[in-house]
Formats: sequence, C-alpha cells, structure tokens
Amino acid sequence: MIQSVAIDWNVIAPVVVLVATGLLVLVVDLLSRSAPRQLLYGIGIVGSLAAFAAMLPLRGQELTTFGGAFASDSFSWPFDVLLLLTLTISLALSCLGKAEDGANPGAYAALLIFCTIGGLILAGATTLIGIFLGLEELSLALYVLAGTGYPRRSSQEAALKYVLLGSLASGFLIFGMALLYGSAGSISLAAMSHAAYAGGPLFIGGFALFLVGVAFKLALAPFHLWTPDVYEGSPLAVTAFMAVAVKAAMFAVLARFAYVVFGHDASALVPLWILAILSMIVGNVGAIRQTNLKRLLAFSGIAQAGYLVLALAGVGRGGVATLVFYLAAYAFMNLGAFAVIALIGNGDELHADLSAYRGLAFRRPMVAALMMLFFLSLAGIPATAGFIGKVLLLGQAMGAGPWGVAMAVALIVGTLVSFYVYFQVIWQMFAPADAEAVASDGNAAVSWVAVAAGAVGVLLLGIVPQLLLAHL
Amino acid sequence: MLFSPWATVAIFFVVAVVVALLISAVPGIFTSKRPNRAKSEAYECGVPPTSAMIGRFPVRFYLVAMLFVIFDVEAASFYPWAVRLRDLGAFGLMEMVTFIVVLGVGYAYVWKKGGFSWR
Amino acid sequence: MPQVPLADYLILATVLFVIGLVGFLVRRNPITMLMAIELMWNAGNLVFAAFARNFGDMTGQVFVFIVITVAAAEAAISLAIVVMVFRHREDVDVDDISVMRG
Repeated sequence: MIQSVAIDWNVIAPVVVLVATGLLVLVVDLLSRSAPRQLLYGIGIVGSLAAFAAMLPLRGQELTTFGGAFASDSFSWPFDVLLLLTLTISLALSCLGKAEDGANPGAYAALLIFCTIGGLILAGATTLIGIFLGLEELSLALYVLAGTGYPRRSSQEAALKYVLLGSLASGFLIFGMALLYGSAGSISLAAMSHAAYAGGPLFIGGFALFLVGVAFKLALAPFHLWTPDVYEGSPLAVTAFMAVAVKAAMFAVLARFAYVVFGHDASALVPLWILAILSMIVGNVGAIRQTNLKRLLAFSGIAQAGYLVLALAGVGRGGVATLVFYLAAYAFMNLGAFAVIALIGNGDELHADLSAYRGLAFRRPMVAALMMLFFLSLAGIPATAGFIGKVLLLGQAMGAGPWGVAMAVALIVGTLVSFYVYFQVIWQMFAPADAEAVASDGNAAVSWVAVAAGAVGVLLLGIVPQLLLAHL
Repeated sequence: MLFSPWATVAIFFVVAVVVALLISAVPGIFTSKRPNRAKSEAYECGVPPTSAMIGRFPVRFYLVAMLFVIFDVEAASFYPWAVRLRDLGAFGLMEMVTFIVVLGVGYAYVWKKGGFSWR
Repeated sequence: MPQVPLADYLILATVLFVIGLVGFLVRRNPITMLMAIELMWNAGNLVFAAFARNFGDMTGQVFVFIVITVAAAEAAISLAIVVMVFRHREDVDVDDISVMRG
C-alpha cells in the first residue's frame, strides 16, 4: 500500500539549489587543474544567494511536502535566512589570503554548503527523522571542517573532541527519539503533543534524553565542555559558521519542538530553564579569564545560548519573534566580530589572541571602532542590536511565571558580569601597544564587506528594530 | 506450561558451554606433548611466516575497510527501493537517479583526489 | 514460540546504552570510545525496532535503517579524524591531547 508521494518542488527549492551548488563546486574543483579557491568560494556565495532568491516567494506561506514531513512556514523561514547569511559570510571570510582550508578548497566549500543544507532541513523538519538527518548532516560536515586547519595541533584536537562528544550527544538523541517514538506511536511532532499531554515514563525519559542531546549541540551548560576547545582549534571562518549556524538551526528545532509538543503546557520544560540559567552563569564567568578571542566568544556563545532560551520561556506568544530577533542580533554581532579578527590578520589565526589587539585603537582606529561596536552589542549597550534583543527577552521572561523571573534575574546578573569581559577587550584596544605587536595590516575588500554587513545589521536592529520586528 | 519458554534457551546455553569446555579440556588431558620448532611457529596455512606476529597493520587497510563499509551501506539502501520498484514508478526512479548522481559526484571527487590509491 | 515482551527489549536496550556510556567515560582510547558510542546508537536502534514490531508500524524500522546509514558515515569520518591525529603523533590517548587548556 504505497501512497503516492508528491513533492512540492517550491518548498524544497532552496535545499535543491544548495545541493546543486555543492555538487557544482566539487565538479569545478575536479575539472579545473588549478581553479583559484576564490572561484570555488565565489560559486558557493552565488549559490547561497540563489537559494535566498528561491526562498523569497516562500515568505509568509505555510507549505509542507514529503507527506508533511518537511515544512516551509513562517517558523522556518527566518532561521533559513540566518543560515544562508552565515554561509555567505563564512565563505567570504574563507577567501582571505591566510584563511585555512586544509589545502582542499573544493571539499571545504562543499562541506560548508552541506552543513547549511543540514541546517535548512533542521529548520523545516516536522518529524524525528528529519531532525535526526538534518542534525547529522550538519554535524558530520562540521566534524571534518573543525579539522581542516590540521597542520595545527589545536585543530586536530578540535576535530577529535568534537567528533567524540558530538557522536555521544547523537547517541543520547537517538535513544531519546526512540523512546519518544514509543510513547507517541509516531515520529511526527504533532503526534507527540498527545503523548506530552498524557505524560508517562516513556515520554518523560525520551524527552529528557532528547534534551540532553540538543543541549550538547547547543552548548548549554553543563554540556558545554567541548565548546571552547573546538572553537579555538577550528579555522576562523569555520568557527564563525559554527557559532551562528549551529545555534540558529538547533534553536529552530528546539522552538518547533517546544511550540508543537508543549504548546498547551510548558511545565515539563523546567529542565530547559535550569540549563539556561546554568549556561548564563558558566558562560559569563568562564569568559572572564580568557586571553583568546575565539575562546572568549565560545564562552560568550554559551551565555548567549542561555539568553536565547528565555525567548521560549513559558512558550508564550511572541516567543518565536523574540527568538528570531535575538538570533539575528547574535548573528550580526558574532559574524561582525569574527570578520574583524579575519580582517586585520587577513584570515590568520594569530589575531585570535587578545594581545594582538593592544593599541589597535591607535593603529587602526576605524577597525577598532567597529570591533568596539560589536563588543558593545554583545554586552547589550543601548543603541545596539544586543540591547533591544535583551529587552525583548526580559519582556518575554517576565510574563512566564516564577521560572521566567528567575531566568530574567540570571540574564541581568550575567549581563553585569559580561560587561567586565567585553570591556576588557575594548580596554586592550586602547592600551599602549607593545614593541613586538603583530602586524595587523590586513585590508582585504571581501572582509570589509563582511564587517560592514555585521555593523549595519547591529546598528539597524539597534536603532530601528521595527524594521525586523514588523515582519515577525 | 511446566517450563518458562526461556528454559529451552537456558538449556541450550548450558549445553553449549559444557560441550565447548569439554572439547577444549579433553585433548589437553590425554595427549602427550612433544613440542618442536616447526610446531610452535605461528600457523600461516603451511607457508613459512614472513613477519612478526605481533605487529601493527598499516593504516591503509583501515581505508579499504572504511570504503567497504560506506559502499556496503549505500548498496543496502538499494534493496528496499528494488523491492517496491514497480509501485514507486517514475518517482522512485527519479529518487534513485538523484541518489546515484550525488553519490557519483562524491565518488569521482574522492577518486580524482587519490582517495582510492594504495599508498 | 511466544513473543518476547516489549519491556525486555527496553531493559536490554537500556543496559546496552549504559554499558556504552560507561565505556565512553572510562576508556581513554578514541577508537574504544567510538565503539562505545556505536553501542549507544545501536541501543537506540533496538528500541526503535522493538516499538516498530509492537506497533506493527514500519516507521521505526525505517528509522533504524537511516540511523545505520548515518552511523557508517559517522564511523568513517571519526576514524579518519583519529588517523589524521595518529599520523601526527606517536600514540592516541585523549588525555595526551591537550595543547589547549580544557
């Protein structure tokens, strides 16, 4: 009894475009003896923009295909845009002269593109199979990408740690999914909401294991231990991608799960609120003593993941809009900060070290000002995207009962601690330069475009947030 | 029912262990031991051993094993498709063509980059 | 032959999962750790297959099939990474791999 499977090609058009792009990159790399890597990354960027174009007609529509297993709706759309933005900027930063790509640009670009496809599948998945496949496509490609800086020992370490702990997380996820399937009798999230209503040990156990797996991938404390090492070891453009794309895709899953399965009653989500509070503490405190910007941004990312959970507090109205707004702000300020690191060092890894920024305000005032903007936004200073995002998050949390208030308090305390962290970086830029300061004279146009994109995003969302909020 | 249905499994298990132990123990009791050099060498199907027995395998064996596993699993996904080939019709054919094209590009890439060479 | 009750499958799968988890935590050789992880994945597979049989529903079996496919890809990638690390040093032990403060 085979039901005919009708595929709505419009719905999966962005994915199809990206798949074709990834294959094209591989074929071009095969056929041309010595294609410059900028050409391959350029094809990737064009493909990413084409996928974005394919998404435009889907905006505001509620469509599903593959028998309802894959959706393109108001829920997945903003996450997809963020994923494509991240892909574009990561590919742009990979073009820089000293950017690491494992001497294999074709495979590198294709893997970044396949990662993004995994993210798109995650954002649109409405069944456990979709979530699993999307997550694994995203993760497997990232394991390899983490190791593309492999002559460096730290990159080898990053790949090994990531693959071991990532697979462990997948183990929890699969077992959790199996129990969820057992409790609901179906793998669709919609069917799971009945199981959630009924409760029962199978559902509770399954959800707990599922949550452990998701928290691992999201780097929520106490499952964050891999994050600083993996962020530090991976090549710069990959770290930028990891920091933004993985969070965007995983939050799409978490939010869809929360709203579809727990839409009627969020009381079972208390473990998630506890993880969020822990993350805010661990992330902000852990960032204090870091002297490597990638590590610092990793701890910052742990804390920001905690903040982002606030958007789901109580699974209330407007939660997804808040989540998307803060994710967009997070994407702009993080990609901006990574773009600055790539800009001044022409993509090398030396400029991830905090000491490289001593006296930057005197050597490169314009760059230092932009870096300051991104860090002020991370700290949540008014007139930046981070501030508006935190205000929205607080509003969301305050209306969500005692746990919401607890998270709001954690956010405020965490923000106060994080001022110290972020102002330390800004302070470094105004400190007198050492005699042996590294030359920070990178000036590539492509990285300027990435920095400018981040700066415009941070300022626009900070000053006229209605631009985005009106559409959410 | 006198016995639990699992009793047969338990009996089988006990018999298996006892027989295995007996077979290993009995020859040790009744045989005489006259070891010589040829007897105590490692058994390599009659061919004189060429290298030390305790050694590491070169990593390229692992590469071959990995390639086998990957293509084995790829091939496994053909079976369910082949069983329902007639019912799936043109849609199924198109799906499989897509699958093979994606696989083929990856295969060509690995081949060209020297992933299959014995080095 | 009577059917094995569902609960027995769940108990066996849980035991396998815990063995895998403990193996991952106590071993320090990445290959062994990956084997332990594979055990955890397959514990999940067993639960899927058990429920699929219990429900008379193919979805669980399809899921198992997909997990096995992904597990093969995951094994290939993780072992390739172990080989890459191995080629750059004498021995692979996760405790020795600590250029970075972890």
